[in-house]
Amino acid sequence: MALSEYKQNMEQCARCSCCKFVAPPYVESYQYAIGCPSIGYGNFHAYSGGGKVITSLALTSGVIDYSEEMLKTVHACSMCGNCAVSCKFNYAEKVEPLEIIRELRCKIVEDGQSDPAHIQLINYLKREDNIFGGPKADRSAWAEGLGIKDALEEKAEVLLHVGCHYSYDETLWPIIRGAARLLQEAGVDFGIAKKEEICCGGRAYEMGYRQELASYSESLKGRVKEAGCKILLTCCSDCYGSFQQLYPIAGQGLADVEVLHISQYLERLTKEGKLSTGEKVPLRVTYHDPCHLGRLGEPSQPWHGTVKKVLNMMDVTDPPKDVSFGVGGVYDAPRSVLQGIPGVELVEMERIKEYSFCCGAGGGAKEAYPDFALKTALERIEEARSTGAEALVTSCPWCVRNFRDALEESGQQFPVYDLVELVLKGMGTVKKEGAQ
Amino acid sequence: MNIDQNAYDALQSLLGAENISVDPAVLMGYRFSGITFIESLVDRSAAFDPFGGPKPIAVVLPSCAEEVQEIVRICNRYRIHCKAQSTGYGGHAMPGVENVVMVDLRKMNRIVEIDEKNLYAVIEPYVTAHQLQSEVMKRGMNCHVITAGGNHSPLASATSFQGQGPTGFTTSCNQRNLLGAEWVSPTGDLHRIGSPGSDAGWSCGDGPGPDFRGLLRGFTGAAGGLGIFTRIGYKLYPWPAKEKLKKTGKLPVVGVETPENYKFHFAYWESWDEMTEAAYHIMESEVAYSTVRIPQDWWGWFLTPTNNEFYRRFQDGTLPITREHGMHWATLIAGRTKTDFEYKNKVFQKIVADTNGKLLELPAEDEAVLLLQMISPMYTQRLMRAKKSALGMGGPTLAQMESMSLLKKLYETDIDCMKEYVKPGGALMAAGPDGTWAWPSEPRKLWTESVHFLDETPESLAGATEYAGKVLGSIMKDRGSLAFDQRLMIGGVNDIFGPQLGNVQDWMRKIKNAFDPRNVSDHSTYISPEPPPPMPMPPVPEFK
Repeated sequence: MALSEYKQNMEQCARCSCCKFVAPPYVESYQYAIGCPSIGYGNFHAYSGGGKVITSLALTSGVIDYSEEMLKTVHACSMCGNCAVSCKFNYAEKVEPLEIIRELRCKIVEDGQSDPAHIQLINYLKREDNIFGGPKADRSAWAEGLGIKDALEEKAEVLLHVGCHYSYDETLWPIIRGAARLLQEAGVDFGIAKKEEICCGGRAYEMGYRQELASYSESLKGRVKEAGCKILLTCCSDCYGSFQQLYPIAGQGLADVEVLHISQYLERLTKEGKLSTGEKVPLRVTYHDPCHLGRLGEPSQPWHGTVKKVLNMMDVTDPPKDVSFGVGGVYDAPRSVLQGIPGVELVEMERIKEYSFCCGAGGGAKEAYPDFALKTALERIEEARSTGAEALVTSCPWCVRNFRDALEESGQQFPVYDLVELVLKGMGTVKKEGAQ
Repeated sequence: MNIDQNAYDALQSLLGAENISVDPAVLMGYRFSGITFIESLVDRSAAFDPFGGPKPIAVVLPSCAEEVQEIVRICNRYRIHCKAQSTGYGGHAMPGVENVVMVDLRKMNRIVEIDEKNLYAVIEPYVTAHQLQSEVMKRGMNCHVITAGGNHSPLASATSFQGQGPTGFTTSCNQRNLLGAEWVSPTGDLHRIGSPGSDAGWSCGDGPGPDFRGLLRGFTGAAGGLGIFTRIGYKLYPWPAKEKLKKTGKLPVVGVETPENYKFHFAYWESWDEMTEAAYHIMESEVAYSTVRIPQDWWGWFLTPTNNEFYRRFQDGTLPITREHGMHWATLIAGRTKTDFEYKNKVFQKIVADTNGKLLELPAEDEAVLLLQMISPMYTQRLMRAKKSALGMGGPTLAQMESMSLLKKLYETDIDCMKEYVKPGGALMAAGPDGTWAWPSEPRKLWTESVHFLDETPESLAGATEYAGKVLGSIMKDRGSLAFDQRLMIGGVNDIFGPQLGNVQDWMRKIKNAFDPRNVSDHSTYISPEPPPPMPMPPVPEFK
């Protein structure tokens, strides 16, 4: 749907400001009541989810035009989806702020108003099929020496989609190599697409590049089909969110394959007795829910229909819209895996699951406004510390990297682990052989 | 209209470039009128154009009272209006005049103090009710949360508007929860009112120190039309539950486990007289913590995630609360001890039995959802999904601070007036025979508000206005005046209805001109400095 087609939704915004906070029932304290990192950064109402809805309505109504400040309110936003969850607590499908913000970004691109940092990412993507600009040929350099089969050459039950971040960020290679080693230890028949793996297209879409999602989702779906796998597995929560929420929007839903995140698969392998974490890891940890694995990883389908009036004027959707409240994300699996590691004690932050607070790295915000990403990450780390945890665990390369960058930049110390790293510790793999 | 460059420079110099904006997109966030408000009754053309009203010339983000003072002084110097806003829910929070600087108080968001022994908190404008409630509950206290929901500003509600929530039985209403206050006058002077006026803490609005709360807020509040409040002492109340509330369900249908020595009851009667008698006994015995009655269909809106699901269950007849249960009090009993709880619970049940009432057994998951709403209301949010446009979000309110004896009359009036408009194809949403909420408040009086949903069509608005006129006509006929309803008194409405209310508009105008000689504070939701041309009462049809 084009932005202008959301006019009725935009007009339904009551400007209640709920989008700025975590969903009303889950405000547990003064300090951690805020749910929107963007309003925390920019402060003016335009930075909030509702504010961007108002901007969208004003833009499509011809009331305003583009300006540098307007574009900053749109792009200093990690597209984390908190606004959608909080808004839907009140208004269900009536406003849909996240859908509107996505469309606003698409309109910005169509109107030639893209952020320069985003343009650079897209240029990389067009040239090398990844947004980091690394050579296509090096896509599977991370896997060197692991003996992983080429899933496009040899049939495998599981296609491991690694994603751009793990492929080209060498600081994260211990995690992805570790994940591969876990799969090998569990005897999983898996492969990767090697240099044929491409970006999922999700980050491009979040930056407003609709066509890139269309073409990459089509290509990737084709590769999955070509591989003939039963399971599409990814360690990247961004990719997972793309597969579950964005591919259906692009008409490329992956209905013929089971899409799993590594946390889900590790849980399954553990339950099946194929993986066992017997090594004690005495550590009190807190778990950060990545947005794209949580509320943005909830499977959903685009809705096409009409709004009818009943009881004289109550709006109902026909056919009924399957409203995504964020509760169907992947929340239990990573916690189950963590709690299965002997010695690990899980303590929760206040903002978790569908009302989790973002790390700040999403939506192209880190690239366009690094100070936004830094501020947001440090706020989350502070919340993690407040639980008494000795470390923060998450399950997303973007979150891990952004937290570690923020800690380094601010000169702070706080251990940040990917879930895979803790499982490796629990298996003693690191101690015995190292993940490298 | 653009801001005077010298004024802009002065504001930027004071606050820094990051705390002032004149960008049109940013300003639209302070123009957009989210909720149709009372102006729909006065100016139909203004009702449904979200960008139709005056646009601010700048928005500023002060961090402290001193900055607010200086902003107001700059506005005086350059003959600019200003209007403060916290979370900005409701059309009254938006500018109503041209050449206005919006003062977004978002950065003034500190809970300065929580005094457990003396039961008050000192808060700044952008502390939300949910934030405050979450902190004080950890210390065995509660605060009033109006039905607009927990993301409203208690400071704004207590100083500049008014409101009632379901715990009003115990926690009164917000205009009565204001203790000491810090106020930047429209001339930029800083005053502390009540006990803080003599450096005697924030626990008392009456003094020692000057007390002119009545002048500054009256019953309805000046809604930003008379200076800017920057800090208040706010009443807190005991909260007996010892354990942290445990949430149940999943978004958006979230509930809470019943705390020890608590019980939720849904009691209903077959006549308004019996329901009224029960209310008197409940108030006399003080056994309730929260009590509320809302239009019966609306309970189903809490219990369902979407309009579709509500409508499906409404049609299926699977909602637990139906139109048979219209005469009800949803009540929360809260005991300090087991003995206290057993006593209160027993007394409540006896009152219900003695007045021929019945207790409705609800499924546990539904009871949990309604229980949360009795503690920390999110009524307006969960209900506005039915239809955003409401008749004045209060509309033809029938009584506030009134005698419980009026209960039967006001419901019968509302039902009588509504019946024509809730028929199929009518001007109002057909969500039950009435639209009236009621609370036994404090517990000594009746507080009611009527909320009626209407469509964004001229026909619906015309019908809704006609309906409101019928209600007014009925009250005029019965009581000879409109003195029942001070909630209507916002902005230009004062000059219409004021003559019915002891010429309150003249007093308000004197206050406005005395405190705000240059009319710096946006007067649109308070009173204009000069009387407008004579405005007749809207046509009030004869009520039959």
